[in-house]
Amino acid sequence: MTYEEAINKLETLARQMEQGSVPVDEMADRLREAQDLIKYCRERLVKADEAVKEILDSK
Amino acid sequence: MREPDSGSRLYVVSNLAEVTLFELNTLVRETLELGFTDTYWVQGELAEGRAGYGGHFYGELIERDEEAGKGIVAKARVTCWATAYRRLSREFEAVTGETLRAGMKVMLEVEVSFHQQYGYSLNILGIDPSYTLGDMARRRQEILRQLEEDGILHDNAELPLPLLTQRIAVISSASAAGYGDFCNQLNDNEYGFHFSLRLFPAVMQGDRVEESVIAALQQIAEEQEQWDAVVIIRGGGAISDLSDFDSYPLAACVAQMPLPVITGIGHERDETVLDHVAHTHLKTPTAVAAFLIDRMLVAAVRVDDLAQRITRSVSDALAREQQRLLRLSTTLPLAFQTVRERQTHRIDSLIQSLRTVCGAQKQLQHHRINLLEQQFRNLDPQLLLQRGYSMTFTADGRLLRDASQVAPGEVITTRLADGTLTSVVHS
Repeated sequence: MTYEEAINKLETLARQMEQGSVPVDEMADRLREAQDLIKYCRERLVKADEAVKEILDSK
Repeated sequence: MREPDSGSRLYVVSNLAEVTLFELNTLVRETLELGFTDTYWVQGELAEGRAGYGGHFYGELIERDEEAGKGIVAKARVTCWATAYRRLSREFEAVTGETLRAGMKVMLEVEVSFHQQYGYSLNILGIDPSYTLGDMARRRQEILRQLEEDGILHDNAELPLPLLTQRIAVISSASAAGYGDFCNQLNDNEYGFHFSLRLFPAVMQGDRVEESVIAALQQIAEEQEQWDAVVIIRGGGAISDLSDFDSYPLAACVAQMPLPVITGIGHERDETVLDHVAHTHLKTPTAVAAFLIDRMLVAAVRVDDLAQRITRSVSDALAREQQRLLRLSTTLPLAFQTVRERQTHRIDSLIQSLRTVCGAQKQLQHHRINLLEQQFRNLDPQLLLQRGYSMTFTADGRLLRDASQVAPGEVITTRLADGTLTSVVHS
């Protein structure tokens, strides 16, 4: 998943949750999903993309 | 200003047909100096030019035939003595931001000079920097017009800059202080954002700028998937020659780069053609680094904002549900009570009506029983006997209803209201 995809997914999730269109039963799952996405995005800001690292290290 | 010279005496040539070279050159010199006492403003292109030993400037001024290609139609050596050159070059750099050098169009105030040994040359007494500036601007405009005509002027600016501009291909000279500062600034950013940098070394000053920057750009383009953006930077500090970057091939290459190009080639006053075609242009490497960190900050703020929105909406939703439960927990017992009361009432009235129905039924039954009792009472044979009727039975106890049921001589028993009679049938 690219950062762009992750952030777009987060936007959608936030919108759905704000609109109250997420059933309570699904809330926990959606929240977990959002947390994973947030973690991924935050990590991308401070960590090297593994693929990039590999390429740069191999040079 | 004229350098002191041993040949300043006027030579009287006695025999015109026979002179030494020195004498002849002296004659030429004196003729020239007498004939060209004024100073002249002359425009041309510096074909060569550099400050040499002792701080004097030596160069060559040429004029090209613009109509017939690039052929040179005039050429003269130019000299600027150290004292004048120090002042003039300072003024020139202050206005143009450039050092006086080969390739520039210049407007020079000169005096004609001739030296017996070195020949004809022009002494530079003044320079009009605005002429050069105007020419540079014209050249820049010309390149921009060409790029516009080719339809590529805005190509790079229209490329999207990725949300995370983290993988940076840097074109700079490795030795430049600007590059080191740039790397440090990015790598030590206070937010801990990660950047992957790689230097694609290039010459950032002089004749080889065009060729070497283009080579670096091509190398990056070949591995474009690995990079988010290209940064072209050059350390500030000393006056730098911006016009090295005013090159059509270089500008066209930047314009058509498949990656966004960010420039920070260090000039407060002017923009180069490169700045015009680049995706983003900033004044200095420091500004480029700050820009990149800022973009990451924007991305980080966006993530934080989303995280907050999600947390808030989840807790809002939970609070809403809790409220709902609370409401239900108070309204439900009330509702139950209402239902219970209603049902109790219903049961009560059912019992009541049952009772009523049962009472009526009982009375009805009573009445029926009384009636039956009356009827039965009316049927009691004792009543008939008391009215005078009697009942007669045969000897075997059968009730006699027909006289033929007995024969004469048979004994019969007659029951009266009080007592019985036993008789023998006579006939």
